[in-house]
Amino acid sequence: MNAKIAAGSQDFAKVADGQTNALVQQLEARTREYLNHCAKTIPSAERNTIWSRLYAAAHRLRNAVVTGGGTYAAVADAVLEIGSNLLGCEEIAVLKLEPNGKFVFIVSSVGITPAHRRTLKTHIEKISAEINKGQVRIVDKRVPRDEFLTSIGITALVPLSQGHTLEGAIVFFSLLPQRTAFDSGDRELLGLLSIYVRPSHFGM
Amino acid sequence: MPIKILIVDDSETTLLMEEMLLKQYTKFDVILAHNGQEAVEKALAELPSLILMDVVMPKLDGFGACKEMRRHPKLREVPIILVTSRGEPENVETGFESGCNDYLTKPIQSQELIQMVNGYLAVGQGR
Repeated sequence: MNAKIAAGSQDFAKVADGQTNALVQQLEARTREYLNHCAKTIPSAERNTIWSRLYAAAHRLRNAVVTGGGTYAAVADAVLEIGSNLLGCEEIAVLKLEPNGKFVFIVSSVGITPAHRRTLKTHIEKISAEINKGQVRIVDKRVPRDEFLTSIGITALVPLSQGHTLEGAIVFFSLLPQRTAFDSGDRELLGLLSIYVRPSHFGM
Repeated sequence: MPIKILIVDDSETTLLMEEMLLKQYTKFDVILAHNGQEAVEKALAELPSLILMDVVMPKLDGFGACKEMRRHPKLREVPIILVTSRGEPENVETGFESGCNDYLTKPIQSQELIQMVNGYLAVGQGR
């Protein structure tokens, strides 16, 4: 195993702003942690691919917060890239949940068609209810509780919280043809997004 | 002389993952480019032994960059692997017509990437 990137030796530039700095430090710690895990596994191990994707996602989010100042555009780009390159999905929408927890609207999207928008608008209350469950969901069409999300074409749903308050969600629609479904490795990546993609990044 | 691999992608996420994997599991040097135009320039300047290249990119896409590279005698024999989320048969066919040697489909699997890179460079070294 080559040690040009020695585990835990990732060097990052310092960030000035206090709140942003805390988030950046968390993402850097995650990036190092995933790199360490990669270094302890061989490429043929299934976990290696998972750790590698988590490493790339954490590092990418970190860079979006640092170089983009955590702005909407920078984080939105990062979410799109992670969805497309690491999850195999290019139809993604970021939804905002109103303070009363009942209504949602799209604050950012990529690859979302007018049909998707109509669907989201038509089923706004049911989608709100699903977001309010507060769980990362990989939709399984065989499971009765996923019947509604399956019927509107959602393949995964990632709730976004600010503190203990649920404020929105990332929804994923169709996967690229080479992927049949999200798997357990994807769940970890979706979990990472649910923790570190802060609603504040989207002006929520 | 060190063996160099040029990775080309407009996605920072993909560059981060591929660069990390190649630095962890191979002995080769890694060079990065963010679009097809930059890839052609860096390939001519650095003369890599292998090129991993995305298809959909700004300025010059992977197919165009592949064709451009094949016009240069110094790059005519360099293996080019297109790495793309667009793995449909028509895209694969266009890729081969533009001069690529192989295809990898995103999302990338660690083993698939490392095996393919090592496979091409081992063949090259054996010539």
